[in-house]
Amino acid sequence: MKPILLMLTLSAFACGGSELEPTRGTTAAIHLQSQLESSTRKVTVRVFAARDRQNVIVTCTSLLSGNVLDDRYELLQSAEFDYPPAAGASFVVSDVDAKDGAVIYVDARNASDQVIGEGCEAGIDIKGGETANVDLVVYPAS
Amino acid sequence: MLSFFAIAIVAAVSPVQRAEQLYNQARYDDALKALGRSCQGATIRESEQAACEKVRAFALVALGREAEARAAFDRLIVANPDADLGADVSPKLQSLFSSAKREIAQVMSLQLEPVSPGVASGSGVSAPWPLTVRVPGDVEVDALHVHIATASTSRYSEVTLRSQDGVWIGMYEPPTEPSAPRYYLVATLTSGVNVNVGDAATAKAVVVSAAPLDPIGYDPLEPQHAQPNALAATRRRDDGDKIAGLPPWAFWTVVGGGAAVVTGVLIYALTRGGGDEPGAVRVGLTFQ
Repeated sequence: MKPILLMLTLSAFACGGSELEPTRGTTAAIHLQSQLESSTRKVTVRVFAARDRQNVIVTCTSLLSGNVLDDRYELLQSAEFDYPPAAGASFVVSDVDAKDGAVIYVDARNASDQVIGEGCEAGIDIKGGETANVDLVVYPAS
Repeated sequence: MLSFFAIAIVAAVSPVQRAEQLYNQARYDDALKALGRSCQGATIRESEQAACEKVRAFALVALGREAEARAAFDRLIVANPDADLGADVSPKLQSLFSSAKREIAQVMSLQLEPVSPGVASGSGVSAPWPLTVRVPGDVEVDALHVHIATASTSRYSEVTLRSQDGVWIGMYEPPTEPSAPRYYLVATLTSGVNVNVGDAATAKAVVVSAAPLDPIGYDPLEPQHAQPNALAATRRRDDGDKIAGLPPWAFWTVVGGGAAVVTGVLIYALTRGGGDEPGAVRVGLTFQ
Protein backbone atom coordinates (compact mmCIF):
# COMPACT_ATOMS: atom_id res chain seq x y z
CA MET A 1 0.00 0.00 0.00
CA LYS A 2 2.79 2.40 0.90
CA PRO A 3 4.60 2.14 -2.50
CA ILE A 4 1.31 3.03 -4.25
CA LEU A 5 0.84 6.12 -2.06
CA LEU A 6 4.43 7.21 -2.74
CA MET A 7 3.93 6.90 -6.50
CA LEU A 8 0.72 8.89 -6.37
CA THR A 9 2.45 11.63 -4.39
CA LEU A 10 5.36 11.79 -6.84
CA SER A 11 2.93 11.93 -9.78
CA ALA A 12 1.10 14.81 -8.16
CA PHE A 13 4.39 16.73 -7.76
CA ALA A 14 5.33 15.98 -11.35
CA CYS A 15 1.99 17.28 -12.68
CA GLY A 16 2.20 20.40 -10.51
CA GLY A 17 5.71 21.13 -11.72
CA SER A 18 4.72 21.01 -15.37
CA GLU A 19 1.97 23.58 -14.77
CA LEU A 20 4.26 26.05 -13.02
CA GLU A 21 6.27 27.00 -16.12
CA PRO A 22 3.58 28.88 -18.08
CA THR A 23 2.32 30.49 -14.89
CA ARG A 24 5.72 32.04 -14.22
CA GLY A 25 5.84 33.39 -17.79
CA THR A 26 2.47 35.09 -17.46
CA THR A 27 3.40 36.62 -14.13
CA ALA A 28 6.52 38.20 -15.63
CA ALA A 29 4.57 39.78 -18.49
CA ILE A 30 2.01 41.25 -16.14
CA HIS A 31 4.76 42.68 -13.97
CA LEU A 32 6.35 44.59 -16.92
CA GLN A 33 2.98 45.91 -18.05
CA SER A 34 2.05 47.06 -14.59
CA GLN A 35 5.16 49.24 -14.16
CA LEU A 36 3.65 51.85 -16.45
CA GLU A 37 0.05 51.17 -15.62
CA SER A 38 0.48 51.06 -11.87
CA SER A 39 2.29 54.43 -11.88
CA THR A 40 -0.44 56.10 -13.92
CA ARG A 41 -2.67 58.43 -11.93
CA LYS A 42 -4.15 60.66 -14.61
CA VAL A 43 -4.97 60.20 -18.25
CA THR A 44 -5.61 63.05 -20.66
CA VAL A 45 -7.36 62.35 -23.94
CA ARG A 46 -7.06 64.95 -26.70
CA VAL A 47 -9.00 64.81 -29.94
CA PHE A 48 -7.44 66.73 -32.84
CA ALA A 49 -8.82 67.55 -36.28
CA ALA A 50 -7.11 65.75 -39.16
CA ARG A 51 -5.58 69.01 -40.39
CA ASP A 52 -4.21 71.89 -38.39
CA ARG A 53 -5.14 75.55 -38.79
CA GLN A 54 -2.64 75.88 -41.63
CA ASN A 55 -4.17 72.92 -43.41
CA VAL A 56 -1.20 70.71 -42.64
CA ILE A 57 -2.02 67.04 -42.01
CA VAL A 58 -1.75 66.10 -38.33
CA THR A 59 -0.05 62.76 -37.73
CA CYS A 60 0.68 60.71 -34.66
CA THR A 61 4.37 61.17 -35.38
CA SER A 62 4.06 64.94 -35.25
CA LEU A 63 2.10 64.77 -31.99
CA LEU A 64 4.33 62.23 -30.29
CA SER A 65 7.54 63.98 -31.27
CA GLY A 66 6.34 67.56 -31.01
CA ASN A 67 4.31 69.82 -28.76
CA VAL A 68 0.67 68.75 -28.49
CA LEU A 69 -0.12 72.15 -26.98
CA ASP A 70 0.93 73.98 -30.14
CA ASP A 71 -2.03 76.23 -30.87
CA ARG A 72 -1.79 75.53 -34.57
CA TYR A 73 -3.40 72.16 -33.92
CA GLU A 74 -7.18 72.27 -33.94
CA LEU A 75 -8.16 70.68 -30.67
CA LEU A 76 -11.71 69.39 -31.01
CA GLN A 77 -12.04 68.29 -27.41
CA SER A 78 -9.94 67.17 -24.47
CA ALA A 79 -10.69 65.59 -21.13
CA GLU A 80 -8.71 64.47 -18.12
CA PHE A 81 -9.55 61.34 -16.17
CA ASP A 82 -8.35 59.70 -12.98
CA TYR A 83 -6.67 56.36 -13.46
CA PRO A 84 -7.68 53.66 -12.89
CA PRO A 85 -11.18 54.62 -14.00
CA ALA A 86 -13.89 54.52 -11.34
CA ALA A 87 -16.07 52.28 -13.46
CA GLY A 88 -15.42 50.26 -16.59
CA ALA A 89 -12.15 50.13 -18.44
CA SER A 90 -12.59 52.94 -20.95
CA PHE A 91 -12.96 56.71 -21.05
CA VAL A 92 -15.60 58.62 -22.95
CA VAL A 93 -14.89 62.07 -24.32
CA SER A 94 -18.16 63.71 -25.26
CA ASP A 95 -19.12 66.90 -27.11
CA VAL A 96 -16.62 66.31 -29.88
CA ASP A 97 -17.28 68.12 -33.13
CA ALA A 98 -18.17 65.62 -35.84
CA LYS A 99 -15.10 65.23 -38.07
CA ASP A 100 -13.61 62.56 -40.23
CA GLY A 101 -10.05 61.39 -39.77
CA ALA A 102 -9.61 62.77 -36.25
CA VAL A 103 -6.43 62.02 -34.32
CA ILE A 104 -6.73 60.75 -30.76
CA TYR A 105 -3.76 61.39 -28.49
CA VAL A 106 -3.51 60.13 -24.91
CA ASP A 107 -0.93 60.87 -22.28
CA ALA A 108 -0.55 59.06 -18.97
CA ARG A 109 0.86 60.92 -15.99
CA ASN A 110 2.18 59.79 -12.65
CA ALA A 111 1.55 61.21 -9.19
CA SER A 112 4.14 63.95 -9.88
CA ASP A 113 2.17 64.97 -12.97
CA GLN A 114 4.98 63.86 -15.26
CA VAL A 115 4.06 62.33 -18.59
CA ILE A 116 5.18 58.71 -18.37
CA GLY A 117 3.26 57.22 -21.28
CA GLU A 118 1.77 58.23 -24.61
CA GLY A 119 -0.49 56.66 -27.18
CA CYS A 120 -2.03 57.85 -30.41
CA GLU A 121 -4.38 56.73 -33.15
CA ALA A 122 -5.19 58.60 -36.36
CA GLY A 123 -7.99 58.32 -38.89
CA ILE A 124 -10.93 58.15 -36.48
CA ASP A 125 -14.25 59.22 -37.99
CA ILE A 126 -16.47 61.00 -35.50
CA LYS A 127 -20.13 61.16 -36.47
CA GLY A 128 -22.74 63.43 -34.89
CA GLY A 129 -24.75 61.61 -32.24
CA GLU A 130 -22.51 58.54 -32.35
CA THR A 131 -19.66 57.25 -30.23
CA ALA A 132 -16.49 56.19 -32.00
CA ASN A 133 -14.55 53.40 -30.30
CA VAL A 134 -10.77 53.57 -30.19
CA ASP A 135 -8.38 51.09 -28.58
CA LEU A 136 -5.01 52.62 -27.84
CA VAL A 137 -1.74 51.16 -26.66
CA VAL A 138 0.07 53.43 -24.22
CA TYR A 139 3.83 53.18 -24.56
CA PRO A 140 6.39 54.51 -22.09
CA ALA A 141 7.22 58.13 -22.92
CA SER A 142 10.77 58.59 -24.11
CA MET B 1 55.18 105.44 -0.38
CA LEU B 2 52.37 103.52 1.34
CA SER B 3 49.72 105.93 0.07
CA PHE B 4 51.10 105.55 -3.46
CA PHE B 5 50.49 101.77 -3.28
CA ALA B 6 47.04 102.33 -1.83
CA ILE B 7 46.15 104.62 -4.73
CA ALA B 8 47.58 102.11 -7.19
CA ILE B 9 45.48 99.27 -5.70
CA VAL B 10 42.30 101.38 -5.77
CA ALA B 11 42.99 102.34 -9.39
CA ALA B 12 43.43 98.67 -10.33
CA VAL B 13 39.91 97.81 -9.16
CA SER B 14 37.47 98.07 -12.04
CA PRO B 15 34.01 99.64 -11.65
CA VAL B 16 32.44 96.19 -11.83
CA GLN B 17 34.70 94.79 -9.12
CA ARG B 18 33.99 97.88 -7.02
CA ALA B 19 30.25 97.37 -7.54
CA GLU B 20 30.55 93.72 -6.50
CA GLN B 21 32.28 94.79 -3.29
CA LEU B 22 29.60 97.37 -2.57
CA TYR B 23 26.85 94.83 -3.32
CA ASN B 24 28.42 92.38 -0.88
CA GLN B 25 28.38 95.18 1.72
CA ALA B 26 24.63 95.65 1.00
CA ARG B 27 25.36 99.14 -0.39
CA TYR B 28 23.09 98.60 -3.38
CA ASP B 29 22.64 102.23 -4.44
CA ASP B 30 26.39 102.76 -4.31
CA ALA B 31 26.90 99.60 -6.36
CA LEU B 32 24.63 101.00 -9.07
CA LYS B 33 26.47 104.31 -8.99
CA ALA B 34 29.78 102.48 -9.42
CA LEU B 35 28.44 100.78 -12.56
CA GLY B 36 27.28 104.02 -14.14
CA ARG B 37 24.28 104.39 -16.39
CA SER B 38 25.11 101.64 -18.84
CA CYS B 39 27.17 98.46 -18.96
CA GLN B 40 27.98 99.28 -22.57
CA GLY B 41 29.59 102.57 -21.56
CA ALA B 42 33.22 103.50 -22.00
CA THR B 43 34.07 102.86 -18.36
CA ILE B 44 33.14 99.16 -18.52
CA ARG B 45 35.52 96.74 -20.19
CA GLU B 46 33.94 94.54 -22.82
CA SER B 47 35.02 91.43 -20.92
CA GLU B 48 33.15 92.67 -17.85
CA GLN B 49 29.88 93.66 -19.48
CA ALA B 50 28.16 90.40 -18.52
CA ALA B 51 29.31 90.69 -14.91
CA CYS B 52 28.18 94.32 -14.95
CA GLU B 53 24.63 93.40 -16.00
CA LYS B 54 24.56 90.63 -13.42
CA VAL B 55 25.59 92.88 -10.51
CA ARG B 56 23.24 95.58 -11.76
CA ALA B 57 20.34 93.10 -11.77
CA PHE B 58 21.23 91.80 -8.32
CA ALA B 59 21.38 95.32 -6.87
CA LEU B 60 18.14 96.33 -8.55
CA VAL B 61 16.31 93.28 -7.19
CA ALA B 62 17.64 94.09 -3.73
CA LEU B 63 16.17 97.58 -4.12
CA GLY B 64 12.82 96.18 -5.30
CA ARG B 65 13.25 97.53 -8.85
CA GLU B 66 12.40 94.27 -10.55
CA ALA B 67 11.38 95.65 -13.93
CA GLU B 68 14.80 97.27 -14.33
CA ALA B 69 16.46 94.10 -13.03
CA ARG B 70 14.59 92.10 -15.65
CA ALA B 71 15.89 94.45 -18.33
CA ALA B 72 19.46 93.90 -17.06
CA PHE B 73 18.94 90.12 -17.20
CA ASP B 74 17.46 90.47 -20.69
CA ARG B 75 20.55 92.36 -21.89
CA LEU B 76 22.80 89.79 -20.20
CA ILE B 77 21.05 86.82 -21.83
CA VAL B 78 20.78 88.41 -25.27
CA ALA B 79 24.53 89.07 -25.26
CA ASN B 80 25.37 85.73 -23.56
CA PRO B 81 22.73 83.09 -24.29
CA ASP B 82 24.57 80.56 -22.12
CA ALA B 83 24.74 82.89 -19.11
CA ASP B 84 24.19 81.25 -15.75
CA LEU B 85 23.80 82.68 -12.26
CA GLY B 86 25.31 79.70 -10.47
CA ALA B 87 23.78 77.88 -7.54
CA ASP B 88 24.37 80.38 -4.76
CA VAL B 89 21.71 82.93 -5.61
CA SER B 90 18.35 83.51 -4.01
CA PRO B 91 15.25 81.80 -5.40
CA LYS B 92 13.86 85.23 -6.27
CA LEU B 93 16.85 86.07 -8.47
CA GLN B 94 16.86 82.59 -9.95
CA SER B 95 13.16 82.83 -10.77
CA LEU B 96 13.51 86.22 -12.44
CA PHE B 97 16.53 85.05 -14.42
CA SER B 98 14.90 81.78 -15.48
CA SER B 99 11.81 83.62 -16.59
CA ALA B 100 13.90 85.99 -18.72
CA LYS B 101 15.88 83.12 -20.20
CA ARG B 102 12.78 81.10 -21.04
CA GLU B 103 11.07 84.05 -22.72
CA ILE B 104 14.13 84.97 -24.76
CA ALA B 105 14.51 81.34 -25.86
CA GLN B 106 10.92 81.43 -27.08
CA VAL B 107 11.51 84.71 -28.88
CA MET B 108 14.62 83.25 -30.50
CA SER B 109 12.49 80.46 -31.96
CA LEU B 110 10.02 82.82 -33.63
CA GLN B 111 9.77 82.47 -37.35
CA LEU B 112 7.90 83.81 -40.31
CA GLU B 113 4.92 81.73 -41.36
CA PRO B 114 4.83 80.54 -44.98
CA VAL B 115 3.76 83.44 -47.20
CA SER B 116 0.74 83.27 -49.49
CA PRO B 117 1.07 86.26 -51.85
CA GLY B 118 -2.02 88.37 -52.41
CA VAL B 119 -3.32 89.47 -55.79
CA ALA B 120 -1.24 91.91 -57.85
CA SER B 121 -2.98 95.23 -58.39
CA GLY B 122 -1.63 95.76 -61.92
CA SER B 123 0.79 94.57 -64.55
CA GLY B 124 4.47 94.86 -63.68
CA VAL B 125 3.64 95.01 -59.98
CA SER B 126 4.28 92.05 -57.69
CA ALA B 127 1.53 90.81 -55.43
CA PRO B 128 1.85 92.01 -51.82
CA TRP B 129 3.07 89.50 -49.27
CA PRO B 130 1.22 89.27 -45.97
CA LEU B 131 3.83 88.47 -43.33
CA THR B 132 2.74 86.58 -40.24
CA VAL B 133 4.60 85.65 -37.07
CA ARG B 134 2.84 83.70 -34.35
CA VAL B 135 3.98 84.60 -30.84
CA PRO B 136 3.16 82.10 -28.06
CA GLY B 137 0.59 83.32 -25.54
CA ASP B 138 3.04 83.40 -22.65
CA VAL B 139 5.52 85.61 -24.49
CA GLU B 140 5.13 89.38 -24.55
CA VAL B 141 6.87 91.55 -27.08
CA ASP B 142 6.39 95.27 -27.56
CA ALA B 143 7.36 95.40 -31.22
CA LEU B 144 8.26 93.01 -33.99
CA HIS B 145 10.02 93.84 -37.24
CA VAL B 146 10.78 91.65 -40.21
CA HIS B 147 13.89 92.48 -42.22
CA ILE B 148 13.39 90.97 -45.64
CA ALA B 149 15.39 90.95 -48.87
CA THR B 150 15.43 89.07 -52.15
CA ALA B 151 18.24 87.75 -54.30
CA SER B 152 18.17 90.88 -56.44
CA THR B 153 19.29 93.10 -53.58
CA SER B 154 21.46 92.95 -50.51
CA ARG B 155 19.44 95.71 -48.89
CA TYR B 156 16.90 94.56 -46.36
CA SER B 157 13.50 96.22 -46.14
CA GLU B 158 12.09 96.60 -42.65
CA VAL B 159 8.43 95.69 -42.21
CA THR B 160 6.75 96.61 -38.94
CA LEU B 161 4.26 94.01 -37.78
CA ARG B 162 1.14 94.74 -35.74
CA SER B 163 -0.36 92.39 -33.17
CA GLN B 164 -3.75 90.78 -33.52
CA ASP B 165 -4.29 88.48 -30.55
CA GLY B 166 -0.86 86.94 -30.57
CA VAL B 167 -0.56 86.91 -34.35
CA TRP B 168 1.71 89.62 -35.69
CA ILE B 169 0.86 90.72 -39.21
CA GLY B 170 2.42 93.11 -41.70
CA MET B 171 2.58 93.64 -45.42
CA TYR B 172 5.61 93.52 -47.67
CA GLU B 173 5.63 94.74 -51.23
CA PRO B 174 8.33 92.74 -52.96
CA PRO B 175 10.21 93.90 -56.04
CA THR B 176 9.15 92.59 -59.43
CA GLU B 177 9.74 88.86 -59.76
CA PRO B 178 11.22 88.32 -56.31
CA SER B 179 13.48 85.32 -55.95
CA ALA B 180 15.23 83.59 -53.04
CA PRO B 181 13.65 85.82 -50.40
CA ARG B 182 15.28 85.72 -46.98
CA TYR B 183 14.57 87.36 -43.64
CA TYR B 184 15.46 87.84 -40.03
CA LEU B 185 13.42 89.22 -37.15
CA VAL B 186 14.00 91.85 -34.51
CA ALA B 187 11.74 91.63 -31.47
CA THR B 188 11.57 94.31 -28.80
CA LEU B 189 10.86 92.85 -25.39
CA THR B 190 8.65 94.63 -22.88
CA SER B 191 11.86 95.62 -21.08
CA GLY B 192 12.84 97.57 -24.19
CA VAL B 193 15.67 95.19 -25.06
CA ASN B 194 15.93 94.18 -28.71
CA VAL B 195 16.39 90.52 -29.58
CA ASN B 196 17.76 89.76 -33.03
CA VAL B 197 16.39 86.48 -34.31
CA GLY B 198 19.09 85.96 -36.92
CA ASP B 199 20.85 88.68 -38.89
CA ALA B 200 21.76 89.51 -42.46
CA ALA B 201 24.48 86.85 -42.45
CA THR B 202 22.27 84.08 -41.06
CA ALA B 203 18.96 85.09 -42.63
CA LYS B 204 16.42 82.32 -43.16
CA ALA B 205 14.61 81.58 -46.39
CA VAL B 206 11.05 82.84 -46.73
CA VAL B 207 8.70 80.01 -47.63
CA VAL B 208 6.37 81.27 -50.37
CA SER B 209 3.39 79.13 -51.29
CA ALA B 210 2.42 78.97 -54.96
CA ALA B 211 -1.33 79.37 -54.53
CA PRO B 212 -2.51 82.87 -53.56
CA LEU B 213 -5.03 81.48 -51.12
CA ASP B 214 -6.02 82.96 -47.79
CA PRO B 215 -3.64 85.89 -48.18
CA ILE B 216 -4.13 87.37 -44.72
CA GLY B 217 -4.84 84.25 -42.74
CA TYR B 218 -8.45 85.28 -42.86
CA ASP B 219 -10.77 83.04 -40.92
CA PRO B 220 -14.37 84.27 -41.11
CA LEU B 221 -15.31 82.13 -38.12
CA GLU B 222 -13.02 84.16 -35.88
CA PRO B 223 -14.82 87.35 -34.89
CA GLN B 224 -11.72 89.53 -34.68
CA HIS B 225 -11.00 88.83 -38.32
CA ALA B 226 -14.49 89.75 -39.37
CA GLN B 227 -13.96 93.33 -38.24
CA PRO B 228 -12.51 95.58 -40.91
CA ASN B 229 -10.54 97.49 -38.27
CA ALA B 230 -8.61 94.37 -37.44
CA LEU B 231 -7.39 94.27 -40.98
CA ALA B 232 -6.06 97.80 -40.82
CA ALA B 233 -2.72 96.44 -39.70
CA THR B 234 -2.19 95.03 -43.16
CA ARG B 235 -2.83 98.25 -45.04
CA ARG B 236 -0.46 99.19 -47.77
CA ARG B 237 1.33 102.49 -47.53
CA ASP B 238 -0.28 104.18 -50.56
CA ASP B 239 -3.92 104.99 -49.99
CA GLY B 240 -4.70 105.21 -53.69
CA ASP B 241 -7.01 102.37 -54.61
CA LYS B 242 -8.62 101.27 -51.36
CA ILE B 243 -12.19 100.24 -50.64
CA ALA B 244 -13.42 101.01 -47.13
CA GLY B 245 -9.84 101.58 -46.06
CA LEU B 246 -8.70 98.19 -47.33
CA PRO B 247 -6.81 97.07 -50.43
CA PRO B 248 -9.30 95.73 -52.99
CA TRP B 249 -8.17 92.12 -52.62
CA ALA B 250 -8.61 92.24 -48.83
CA PHE B 251 -11.99 93.94 -49.08
CA TRP B 252 -13.34 91.43 -51.58
CA THR B 253 -11.87 88.56 -49.60
CA VAL B 254 -13.81 89.74 -46.54
CA VAL B 255 -17.01 90.29 -48.54
CA GLY B 256 -16.71 87.03 -50.48
CA GLY B 257 -15.69 85.02 -47.43
CA GLY B 258 -18.53 86.44 -45.36
CA ALA B 259 -21.08 85.71 -48.08
CA ALA B 260 -19.76 82.17 -48.50
CA VAL B 261 -19.98 81.50 -44.78
CA VAL B 262 -23.53 82.86 -44.47
CA THR B 263 -24.63 80.80 -47.48
CA GLY B 264 -22.91 77.70 -46.17
CA VAL B 265 -24.41 78.06 -42.70
CA LEU B 266 -27.90 78.57 -44.17
CA ILE B 267 -27.61 75.54 -46.45
CA TYR B 268 -26.25 73.40 -43.64
CA ALA B 269 -28.95 74.53 -41.20
CA LEU B 270 -31.72 73.89 -43.73
CA THR B 271 -30.44 70.46 -44.75
CA ARG B 272 -29.72 69.34 -41.20
CA GLY B 273 -32.80 70.94 -39.62
CA GLY B 274 -30.58 73.30 -37.69
CA GLY B 275 -28.91 70.41 -35.85
CA ASP B 276 -25.19 70.45 -35.17
CA GLU B 277 -24.99 67.38 -33.04
CA PRO B 278 -21.60 66.55 -31.57
CA GLY B 279 -20.18 63.06 -31.39
CA ALA B 280 -18.16 61.25 -28.77
CA VAL B 281 -15.09 59.06 -28.53
CA ARG B 282 -14.73 56.04 -26.25
CA VAL B 283 -11.08 55.26 -25.60
CA GLY B 284 -9.93 51.91 -24.30
CA LEU B 285 -6.35 51.71 -23.07
CA THR B 286 -3.78 48.95 -23.01
CA PHE B 287 -0.44 49.63 -21.38
CA GLN B 288 2.72 48.34 -23.06
